[in-house]
Amino acid sequence: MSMIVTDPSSRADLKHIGASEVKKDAYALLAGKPLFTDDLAPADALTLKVLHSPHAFARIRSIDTTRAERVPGVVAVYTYKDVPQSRFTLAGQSYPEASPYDRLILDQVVRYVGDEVAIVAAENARSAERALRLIKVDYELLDPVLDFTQAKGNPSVIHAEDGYLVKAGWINNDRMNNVVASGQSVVGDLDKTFAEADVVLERTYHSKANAQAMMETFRSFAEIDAYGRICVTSSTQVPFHVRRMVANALEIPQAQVRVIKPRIGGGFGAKQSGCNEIFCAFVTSRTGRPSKISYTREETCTASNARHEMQITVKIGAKRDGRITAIDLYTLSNQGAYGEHGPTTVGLSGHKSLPLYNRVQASRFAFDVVYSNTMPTGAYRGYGATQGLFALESAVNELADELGIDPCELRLKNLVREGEFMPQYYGNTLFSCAVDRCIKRAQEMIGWQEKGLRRDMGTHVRGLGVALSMQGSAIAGVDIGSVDLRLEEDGFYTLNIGATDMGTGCDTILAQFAAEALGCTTDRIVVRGVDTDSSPYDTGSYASASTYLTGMAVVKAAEQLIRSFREYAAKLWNIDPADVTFDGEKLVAYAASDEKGDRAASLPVPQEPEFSQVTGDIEHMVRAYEVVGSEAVSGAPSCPDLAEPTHEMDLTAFANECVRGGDGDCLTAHAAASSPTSPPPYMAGIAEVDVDKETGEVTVVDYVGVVDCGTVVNENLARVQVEGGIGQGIGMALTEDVQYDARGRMRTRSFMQYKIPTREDVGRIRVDFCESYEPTGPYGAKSIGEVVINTPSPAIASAVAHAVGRQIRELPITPEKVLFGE
Amino acid sequence: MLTIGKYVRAQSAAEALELVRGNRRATVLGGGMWLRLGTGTLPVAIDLADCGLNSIEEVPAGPAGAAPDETEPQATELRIGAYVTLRQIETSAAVAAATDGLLARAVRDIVGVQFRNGATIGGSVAGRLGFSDVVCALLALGADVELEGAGRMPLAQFLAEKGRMRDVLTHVYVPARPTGTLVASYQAVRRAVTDFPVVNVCAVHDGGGWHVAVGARPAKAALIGWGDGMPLALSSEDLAAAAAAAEGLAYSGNMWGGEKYRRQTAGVLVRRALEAAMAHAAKRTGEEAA
Amino acid sequence: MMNVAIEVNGIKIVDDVEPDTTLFEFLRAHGFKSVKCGCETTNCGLCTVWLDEEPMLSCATFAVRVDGRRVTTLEGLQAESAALARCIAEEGAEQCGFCAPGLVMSVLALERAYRAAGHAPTPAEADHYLAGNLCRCTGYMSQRRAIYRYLAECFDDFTAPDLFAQVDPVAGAAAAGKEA
Repeated sequence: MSMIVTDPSSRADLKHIGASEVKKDAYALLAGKPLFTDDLAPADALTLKVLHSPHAFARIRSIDTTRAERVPGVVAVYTYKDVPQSRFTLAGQSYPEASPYDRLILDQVVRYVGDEVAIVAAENARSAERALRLIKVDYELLDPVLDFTQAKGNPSVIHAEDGYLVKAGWINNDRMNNVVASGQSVVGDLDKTFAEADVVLERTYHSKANAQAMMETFRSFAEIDAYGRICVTSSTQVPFHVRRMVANALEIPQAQVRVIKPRIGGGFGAKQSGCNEIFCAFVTSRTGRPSKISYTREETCTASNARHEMQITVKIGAKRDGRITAIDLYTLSNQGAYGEHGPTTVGLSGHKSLPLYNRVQASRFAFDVVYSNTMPTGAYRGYGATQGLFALESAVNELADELGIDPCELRLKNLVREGEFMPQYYGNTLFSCAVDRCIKRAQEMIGWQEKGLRRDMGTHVRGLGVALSMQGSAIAGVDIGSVDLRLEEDGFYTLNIGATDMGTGCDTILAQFAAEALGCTTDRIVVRGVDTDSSPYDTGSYASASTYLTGMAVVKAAEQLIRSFREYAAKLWNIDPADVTFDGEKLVAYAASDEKGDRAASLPVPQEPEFSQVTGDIEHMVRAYEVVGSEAVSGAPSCPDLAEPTHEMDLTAFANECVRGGDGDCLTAHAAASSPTSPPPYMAGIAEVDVDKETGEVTVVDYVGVVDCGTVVNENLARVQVEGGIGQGIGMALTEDVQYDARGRMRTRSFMQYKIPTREDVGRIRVDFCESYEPTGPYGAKSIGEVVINTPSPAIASAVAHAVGRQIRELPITPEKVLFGE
Repeated sequence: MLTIGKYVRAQSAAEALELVRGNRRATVLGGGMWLRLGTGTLPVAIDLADCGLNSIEEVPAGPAGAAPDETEPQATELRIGAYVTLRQIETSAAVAAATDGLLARAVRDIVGVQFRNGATIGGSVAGRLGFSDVVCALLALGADVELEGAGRMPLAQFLAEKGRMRDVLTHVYVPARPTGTLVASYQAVRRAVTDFPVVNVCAVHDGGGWHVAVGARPAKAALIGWGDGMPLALSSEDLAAAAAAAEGLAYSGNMWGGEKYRRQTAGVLVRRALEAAMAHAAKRTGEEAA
Repeated sequence: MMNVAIEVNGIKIVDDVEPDTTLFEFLRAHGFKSVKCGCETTNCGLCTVWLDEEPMLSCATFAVRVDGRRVTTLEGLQAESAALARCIAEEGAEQCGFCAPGLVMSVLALERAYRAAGHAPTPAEADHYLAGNLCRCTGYMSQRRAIYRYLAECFDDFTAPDLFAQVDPVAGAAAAGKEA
């Protein structure tokens, strides 16, 4: 499993890659078709409601459900006494998960306000609600750890239970000190380099536990299928991981579980953790009846998972001429009550920020991830890089301001370049990078030189601020994307994928790869949604993997399938398969003769090694894809003196021939891709803000984002990704403010209190692309899904600083902080 | 999830009053936008949809039966039924003319059009909510409310009452002064465009004096105790005095903002509201002269 | 329980409801699954339907209060929404699809309101009319492009701004779209 390496000539004359194809599901969604989880739930499903803990840290002394059980319509009420005792994790990660196994379906100890205490199963929501109010719980209150900066070594230990499991030793778990994970990586001699620097700045930055706030809350339902298995339908990004979670939680084999993913109303990482699937799977397993659960927005805000709150200290050293020589970055990450994605998100805060300034002489990234009695955290677009880049890019901006150097010029002077080996980026070599062009294009678009960093407008003042972003493309050496590609009767294709489209359009993108490789239009490619029973394994839609990794699997599968066409046709025609060409529409041969004899039965598989081990030298691996349009597949006939083809069959006839009967087969290719490198996409973002000097109100009047995602596969969809990410980033920067009360109860429990941007909060967002060519990516593509959310917070903070002279280091940037500071 | 025991469509305000007085926990439904958020039980929910309270009429003002004065135009007022929606207020030409567009401006950032198609002026006023932009504007306009039961009273008096309402709000009255005699401005700071205001201000000059209300303190709107009998044209000393009067009200902190920020911003917004209202007048004079 | 008769998309539906059954619940129970719910606090606009032609939040409307009235959902506007759907799809603005029904209902209501007024909305008025329709996927720009294109098709006097131009450019600024 590996990646085919190509060069930019593969990007010439593309017909489908780059086109703004309409999403395959667009019209069904716009017509309001019932395609989402709650639309599909069986009418007779039990409705589940969860009783949530009102206390941040407590042990249940007693719980009495008798009155609740007697409510008409209530079928069962479950407590911690009823559930299996094997701990598991809800993290959607490849096995063995890095996240500790610290959960039970229902636990006797509750660890945050919102933690689950009981499950009510009833015939309808009304009965379930009534029953919830009748459950009597006697809690023994424990000492909560509500301030994550006081968690490490705190006498109150949040996870002291037996049965706690750590599957990944490298995380340095120290749970008796409330530490989920810790570590550090050092390059060079930090002390010496700081000592020699002309300027050293040390600053601490604080970002909060932002909610993903996708429009569709967490929903799932479960049924027993015809084979007695638990079949879960869930709005999830990680069906294969949910299968494992349900099996673990219920203590049953994975073979007894099936997970189906329909259309999802957004995820952004929230649905990269399990949420309520285990509840309906459990109830269905116990009652034998279908059951469903839909979280309210309040439950989604307060009892699910969110971005890790992080406090990041950056120490940065530089020469007076602007060369950055040393960076020391320490992250304290607030995991909340349970450990999902804790050990893994934190790594990106350093490893997907520091490599921007890869040429420093010394760098260190150190971190601690701590438990606290607040809502658990998980995955949210950016996954740690967002927080790390807020800190590092803010520090770089403060450095530029301190040195009196233009912040764009400072970056251009220090940025990583193509070909560099990156010690703080997993030892990868950078094969493609256009971030310098991105900065310059962004400057041009915003009017950087003409406007200047600060423009006084009277009662208002304008400011410009820049920030860069990087991310990865899939998790190197871990993520797997695999596909099945099949030629169907009548000459169309089914592309069976495990990658989960959560609205982004990866179904369509992957169809574009297939269409390009197979030389047909995308409407001939049927893309199947995910069902763990029948879809090929895919780790899921996260870590920006679908385009880069699953896209490569599609290309590889297309190569294989085309080879099988040519071999099958050769068999039919009794000729050498090397003589068979395929142009997407028909198979054509110019065969010298059709004698039997020493003709080859199969085609040679390309000999160049595939990229499976990280090395700096990949030129020798470069080859062209053997797809429609390539020399190998559609090339010149082997007998140039034959003007007319000797054999010809159009694809439809060929497809029908394959399954006509007797000695036939439905031609199918399976391919998987996994990459030893995770090529970073890059982005430059520039914010133009308008600040009211007297009230401190900040408006983003213009935001420019320029992205290097390698080859742009679908321009409309790529642009929407960037705009959407910037929109979320603006929310994180200005309006989204998670607040807790003194007893650990979240105050921002709804969209009335937690303000995501409305269309009037977003001024103008303008996007452009500067394409590099990623040799290990399909047709040169990298990823785009996450890199797009990381620039607004630091860019806006810097723009405000330029406008009013105050650098705000704790998000969000409220009018009050602008006037009075933090 | 809100539970309603019994739903009743009153056929008159008097019937509604009887129901309210007969059951301590009977509640009159407004638009339902706020009740939606509740989790308790309403034993009796009373709908006034059949009581004829959803229109805006211009009616003669002053005591009934007074002889009309032939030399002066009849003073009129707008009689707004409690079930008139915020959207109807926003789009009504009569309301715009009577208030120099103040009410439209005050409601336009409340959540969204769909919300304002449901929310009613009666619900907004009866709730006496601190952040209410409607209440702030009506207070500055010198509005009256009419209650089945307690009768008609100035809004300020209604706001001062404590405890559960034992009457049924049926109408809001806004003086409909001839166009040109009233100028007004609404100012607010919000942390997001359709969020609750951190603090809101309405300033009205009705020809007799300035009336300035500050709301979302977070307590409900209150007049600033400055501006009675003052002329439209203000000096910078006047503006400073108004700001100081605004800062003299009581403020405190909550999730949306701190006390110090509210107090300071109230002063700023009062000054801006006065300047904006004066600018309206200047523009109008300019238009008339043209 | 109370009996109500509500006309949905031209068809009268008669059923028993609780006094606190919302119109949202009523509609979905009767198969109108296009209507979505994204919050409990009237903030998101996903549940928007028309009540006697006015856009309303079905989650905040009790079914008993609309007895005898007319309700329209997206299921009843398939033909009327086709042109708008095309504009949105061709822009790629159709992402997860969860906010789409509420948005389509609101845009069509916007169109009708301004037709009645006899003139096109300005872009700012269009944005403001839709302020109560949240979206988390798109950042709103693609929706703007799609909706402006649709309004230009509907109204001769609708002028879409150049959304790729600089805001408040300063003299000497580079022209939009110039290559680096």
